[in-house]
Amino acid sequence: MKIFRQYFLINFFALVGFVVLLVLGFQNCSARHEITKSINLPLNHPPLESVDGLEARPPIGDRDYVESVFKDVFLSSDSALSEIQAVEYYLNSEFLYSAHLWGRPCDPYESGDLSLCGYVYANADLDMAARTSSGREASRLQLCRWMVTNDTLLNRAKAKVADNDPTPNADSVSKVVKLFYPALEETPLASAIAALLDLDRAMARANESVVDRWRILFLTVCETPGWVVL
Amino acid sequence: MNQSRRRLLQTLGATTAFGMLPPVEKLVRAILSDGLAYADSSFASTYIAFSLFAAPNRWLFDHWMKTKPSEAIVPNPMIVTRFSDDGKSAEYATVDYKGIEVPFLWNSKVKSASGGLRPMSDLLDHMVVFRGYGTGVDGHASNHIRQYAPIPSLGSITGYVSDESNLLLRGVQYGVGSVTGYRSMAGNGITSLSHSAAQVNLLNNLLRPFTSRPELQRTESLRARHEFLIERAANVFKAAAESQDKRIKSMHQDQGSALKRLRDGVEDLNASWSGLFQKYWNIVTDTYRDLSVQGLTAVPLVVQDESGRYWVMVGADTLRPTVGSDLRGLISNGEILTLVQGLALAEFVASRKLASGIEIGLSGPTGLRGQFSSDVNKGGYESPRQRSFSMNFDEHTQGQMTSLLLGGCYYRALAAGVLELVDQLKSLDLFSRTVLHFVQEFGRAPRNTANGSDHSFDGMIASAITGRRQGGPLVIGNIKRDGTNGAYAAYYSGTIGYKAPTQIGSQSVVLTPAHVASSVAMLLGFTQIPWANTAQPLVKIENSNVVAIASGDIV
Repeated sequence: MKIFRQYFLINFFALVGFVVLLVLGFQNCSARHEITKSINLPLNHPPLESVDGLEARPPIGDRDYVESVFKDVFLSSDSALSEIQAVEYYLNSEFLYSAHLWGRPCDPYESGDLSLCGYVYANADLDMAARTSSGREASRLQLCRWMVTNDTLLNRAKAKVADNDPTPNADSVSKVVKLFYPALEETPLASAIAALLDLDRAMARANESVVDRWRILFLTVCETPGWVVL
Repeated sequence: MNQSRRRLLQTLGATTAFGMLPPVEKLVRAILSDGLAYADSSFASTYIAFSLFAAPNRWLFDHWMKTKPSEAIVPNPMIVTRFSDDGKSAEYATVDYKGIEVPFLWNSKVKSASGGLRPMSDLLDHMVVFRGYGTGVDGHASNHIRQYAPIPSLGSITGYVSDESNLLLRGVQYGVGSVTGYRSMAGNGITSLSHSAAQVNLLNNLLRPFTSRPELQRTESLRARHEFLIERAANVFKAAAESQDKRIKSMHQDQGSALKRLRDGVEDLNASWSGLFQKYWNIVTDTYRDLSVQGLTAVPLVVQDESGRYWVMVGADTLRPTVGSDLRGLISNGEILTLVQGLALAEFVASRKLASGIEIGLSGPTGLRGQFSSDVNKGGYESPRQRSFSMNFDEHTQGQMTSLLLGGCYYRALAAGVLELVDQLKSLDLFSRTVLHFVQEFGRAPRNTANGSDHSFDGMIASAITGRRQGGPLVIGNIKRDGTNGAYAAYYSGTIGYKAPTQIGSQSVVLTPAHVASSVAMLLGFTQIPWANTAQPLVKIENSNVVAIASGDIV
């Protein structure tokens, strides 16, 4: 009788163990916002460090971050309401048409509308971390071009960097770079300034107007993607 | 003795514990193999889904009842596929196509891009029909979403295809709106376009980030003059950034690609769109309005009486067409803008390899016109009234004759457009890696009174057309021979596509949208099928062809 009891207990515990393993194997495999790539099946949970492409992706700012940089550079406390509205309108138009490129999910049921998803329900579950793509870069380049094309905005930006000298110089060019890259280290900053001054001298030799020389300087720095990296 | 008894116990225990292992191992292996072992090729497919929003009847198109000569069906007055020769009644008729009985409509010819006629049945060679499945729960939105994402936490078909895509746009959606089943497990978004007026060029919105903007031309030409020096300066930033953080390399690649596209420009989108739009407009509209289709429009369909079989849904109203009028007048000015735009967009996106996942939302034809003598709910008119209207796909009170006419013309137009799209995919050698998926919320439950049809959420229908299937249609999913289950059985009788357990090998399984999604994933060549643990695919690839591994019978 005792043999049967022990036999039963061994079987019982083996069964319990199996059930526990099975439950552990299946649990939490369907979480939506884990950093995963593509298809992850139960019992096929990839360890985080092995997720394909994770290491190659820098953390980049979402649309709010990009918007705040553009506003910091091209608006000032003196900006008229119409300037601010024009900038916000253009930025929002870009974000609205291409919400899926800019990252950050929205909750249509919480906010009551879909403006943050570009009015697209399918984009309600965007990844919290924005990610780079050629579409996003094209959209960002278009924003840079629009900002520098607007003379009023360009003058606002220039006023933040230019001293009494109306033409670009080492100091003002350094400030242009720091508007986008406030934490850039000394050595790369010096290289960047030198390259931009070369560019400006070539522009001057080509008889480009001073305002166009500033336009190209701001555009060149704005177009570089590094300032979007967090 | 004690020792030997202990040893015996240990041996028994060990034997028993290990004795349990083989089944456990088998179980785990089975789970793994169900989930992982469906690999047959590398993943590089295009998925184009057509959502027929509001769920029109598809009995005369791809919701097949009788598929074998030996099968007998129990008739339902709504399930008809052709008009009688005198145009006064309708019947269920099929034609044989490579051993499968298909609705009579497939016997017809449709317009081609060259202006000639071609057999609609050319599509059947590549068709896989899924029927007899369901969710057990009503609801347009929820059931539509479950066709794409049967287990919401496990992503959607389009989501997976788009996530795996390295193409410029990954995924594109047109006219899907709030009833979206799109779910990306990687958090990727989708380019989503709305239904638009005929004059709107959808390509401008599709490629908006890459298209030239007139207001920026001044800066662009200035930039172009100094591009070399600008890029030389930019390279200094690039080198500095990459020396600090190698991960930024991917951003520089994207930026370089974007700059190149902006500099080189995209093709003339106005010319591309107008060419595609006009082509599909001609094919779709000419086919839709064709009044020479045997069994459908070739003879006058004179309204015989005011019975429910002629009811027409006009907006929220149900109207009776005037007795003596020709029902064919309804379609004489009909147009299907969403289908035309959707096909044009699908061809552009697929042929340019812009995205791997494409969802097209379709709505019913517009510009329909009829003469009506009374409103079913509000009574008779003093004199007949003309009304223009759009076809409501949710055909609750669309009578037998009207539903057959409007549905028949619509599906012929759909088939004509899809045939052209398939031609284009074939010419680019893309069809063998493409799946066209025809989706809607549910099937329709046909009323015994012949005056409409309701939601059949346990009689669902979907079909796929893919170059991976050759040699004729497949039909998968068992259906009941007579009626439904439950309280509504008295309203919907006959062979109406209601689900019945389907044989998969030795198993008898009630199919769900997950089985269809798994099957579509298999057709797409997924190396891992996310829903396979819940619902295995109903097809497999054998000798480079798609074959069914589940039954498709009337039981």
